[in-house]
Amino acid sequence: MDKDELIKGLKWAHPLLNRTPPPDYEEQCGRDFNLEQGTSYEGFVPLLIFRLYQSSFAIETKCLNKIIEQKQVFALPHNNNPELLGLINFDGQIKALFSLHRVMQLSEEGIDHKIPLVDEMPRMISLESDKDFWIFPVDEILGIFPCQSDKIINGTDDQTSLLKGLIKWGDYTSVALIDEEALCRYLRESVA
Amino acid sequence: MKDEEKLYALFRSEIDSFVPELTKHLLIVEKEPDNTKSLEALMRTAHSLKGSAKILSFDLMINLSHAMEECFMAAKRGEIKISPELIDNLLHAVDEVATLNEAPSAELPSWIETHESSLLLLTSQIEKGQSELKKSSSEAVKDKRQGSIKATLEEQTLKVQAKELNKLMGLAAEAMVDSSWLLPYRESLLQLRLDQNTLLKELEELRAKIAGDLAKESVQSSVRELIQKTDSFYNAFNRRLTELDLFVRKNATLSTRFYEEVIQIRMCPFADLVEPMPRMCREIAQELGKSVKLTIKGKKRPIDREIIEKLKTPLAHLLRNAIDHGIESKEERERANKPLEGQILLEARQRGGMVEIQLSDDGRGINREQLERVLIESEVLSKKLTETMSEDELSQFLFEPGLTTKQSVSTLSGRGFGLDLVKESVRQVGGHIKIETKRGQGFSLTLYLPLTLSLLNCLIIEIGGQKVALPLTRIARAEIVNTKEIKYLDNRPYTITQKQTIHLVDGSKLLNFPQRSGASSPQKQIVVLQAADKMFGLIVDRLVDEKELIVQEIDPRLGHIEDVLAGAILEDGSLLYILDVDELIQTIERSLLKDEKGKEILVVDDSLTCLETLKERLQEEGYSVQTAENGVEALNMIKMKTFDLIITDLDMPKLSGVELVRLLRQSGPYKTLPIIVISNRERDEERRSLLSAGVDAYIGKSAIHGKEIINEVNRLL
Repeated sequence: MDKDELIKGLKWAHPLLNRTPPPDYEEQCGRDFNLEQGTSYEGFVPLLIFRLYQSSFAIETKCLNKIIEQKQVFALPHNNNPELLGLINFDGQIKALFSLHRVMQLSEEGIDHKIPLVDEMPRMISLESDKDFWIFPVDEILGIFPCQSDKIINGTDDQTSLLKGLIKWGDYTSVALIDEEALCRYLRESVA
Repeated sequence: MKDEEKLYALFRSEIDSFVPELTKHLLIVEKEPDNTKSLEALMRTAHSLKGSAKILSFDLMINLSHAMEECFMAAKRGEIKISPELIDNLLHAVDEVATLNEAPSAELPSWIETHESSLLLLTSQIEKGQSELKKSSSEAVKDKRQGSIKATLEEQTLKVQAKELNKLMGLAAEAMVDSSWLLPYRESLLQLRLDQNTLLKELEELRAKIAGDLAKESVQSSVRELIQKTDSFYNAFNRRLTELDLFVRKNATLSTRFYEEVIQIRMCPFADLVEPMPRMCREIAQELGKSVKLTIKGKKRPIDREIIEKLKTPLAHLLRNAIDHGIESKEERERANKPLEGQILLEARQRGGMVEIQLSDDGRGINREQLERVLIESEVLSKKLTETMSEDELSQFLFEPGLTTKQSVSTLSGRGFGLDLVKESVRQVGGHIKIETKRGQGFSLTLYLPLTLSLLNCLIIEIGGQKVALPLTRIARAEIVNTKEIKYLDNRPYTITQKQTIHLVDGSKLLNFPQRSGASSPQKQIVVLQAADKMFGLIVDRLVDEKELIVQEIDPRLGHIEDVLAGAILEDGSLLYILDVDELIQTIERSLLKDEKGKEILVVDDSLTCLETLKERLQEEGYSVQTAENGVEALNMIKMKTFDLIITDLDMPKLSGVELVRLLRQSGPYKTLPIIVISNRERDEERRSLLSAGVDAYIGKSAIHGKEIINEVNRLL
């Protein structure tokens, strides 16, 4: 993969954000990530980085199905599963909406829900796994960026972990990279 | 998929259509051996089976299908008349072919190995049967010319996965919902046109006003120009609006037609449901030594594919019951002066928005005395009550789980289960059942089913701020009740309207929806639901609308959602749940039972006097009380059942009260379970140490007759 191909890959994922890449995107990308012409970028993976409360997470764009605007959530009768938020109308289908905040066991302490955390473009992301969609609301989409796979710091050997590891990204010292397969497996089991 | 696997998959899908075709026509030929049409159909199908087997070089199947084809050809040429024995062998051969579809693709070689001997045997039996018949029918016209087989162009069918069909349904519904947005949009443009017209009139008035004035010619000319421009804009707008109007109409028609066509794809003829019935009837009757004629009417009546799938097994069960329980033996029929051949009629017809499937027989009907005896012996009804009930009312109890009036259990029926499952299957598709019986004259059972599972007439209501819907056919009425008219019995609210007692239940509490705070209204909106012998009033926020809803599947990964039948999407894109009224009534009954039983308290003491005293006093307060004589017994009971409060003595054998408290407080689920200790040890020091160990209250045994213990219980609960 050379510089142009990598940027092409990043640009491809951009419409998912419902944002047009800025005119100087290619230049900015090259500058931010020190991408040089003629260099091989084998081993780079495009990641979607987003925020849940005050923590940032990343997920590989290959498993992304869609990023949609926030939708009205409908509570389920007799719902005892805190990770299941309710149902939404997803492209004319009635689909379950899950709380990634709760799946990731993020503490709600100190979060004032009266003050909207979402200061720009609240979104829901839909992951695709085995032709199934798993949809979650997120507090903010930060963007899509390339990451060198060998820069991922393996966090844990725990088989039950839903994270592949940690990455460094801009001002964010540690962004947790979600293991999409483990996450979908976990959710499949939780609703079974 | 490898080429070989693809061919095999194709072959299996062909077998799916060959098997019913062969079965159907074999049964016709059994009754009408000269039926040319059926013989031709059999020849064609056996030939197609042979052709498909050849592609796979499946020799055993080629030989079997060849033998079948030869046999049908001989019958067609008039060389033989297919005997009932040969029909049996041919049907067995069809069964053998059908088993191929039960084997996974990878197991084809092992299937061939397992079935080799039976396929060879069947092939030889068919060949032998045919040659024997040929000999015996030497007088048959040999040169009867074989009519040319006209290859009729059958309607081509395409297999589509139900999941894909549901997706298509969702999209079609979405397209229809989206197109309905255009109409209000057009209305808003019409309003804009009116506003524009007003503007034009005002400009005209302005021109008229300034015409007489000494206004400058240039101003008057500007106004004239403005009027002309506005007029031309108005006309252009009008033209566009007409075009839009045309598009709106066209779009509405197209999207509605699109949706209706998709709905039609979901429909199957009744024939698909009853296809295996004639053969089943023949075999069961043969096994029981009975003579039965099954007549099927309304084969072309379209029924929702999903309903057909759900009713296949129940209907087969009903037919088995009719032959086994209903139709009498030949001797019994002779004694009753009835024709020896029993009649069973299976009919599908449409009444209003419902499909009725009726299964009736001219058999013995229900034996009232026998049913009464079974109901009394099973403690379902008292003798007194059975005497007051009509035959049809009593027959409804046949759907009780585990109930049978058949004295012996056979391989066919009489095990006492089945009818309850039939009722459950019918309930699942939103239908209900009615029984009519006349002793000695017959039995009739009618299934009332929705025409399609795709559309449902519903009342939309709001509960806990959320919209839900109830199928209109299941609502007795909706009314407003003044809070002054609400009475209480054992803390349970009820009201009396139209001379009927209606138990009231809060909808949002029942469905566990978030409770809405707000000033309580002097009036309550209720929707009345009727159970068998009770009326329930579901308290809702408000009635919203009455609508035909497009039923949609809720995320299947969630499995069955209690009290919910399906989902629906409204024009504005919002969702709602269509509630399952039968299940809702069960939930209401359970919740009332729970309220009735009150809070559960466990009293632990080795003194029986103390246990009895406390039990009596707490029961008087409306609590449900269970007792244990020591800590071990108590611990076991707590593990098996949820209690709301524990009252325990301290000094007991096996496990003391102190130990019991310690064990409970160590375990997660019981950390917050209220515990009251009663003891003869009434020293302050002990009291303090127990309270710090997690006991909620400490009461001296001498106080168990006083108010303190009740006050503490009330406080903690």
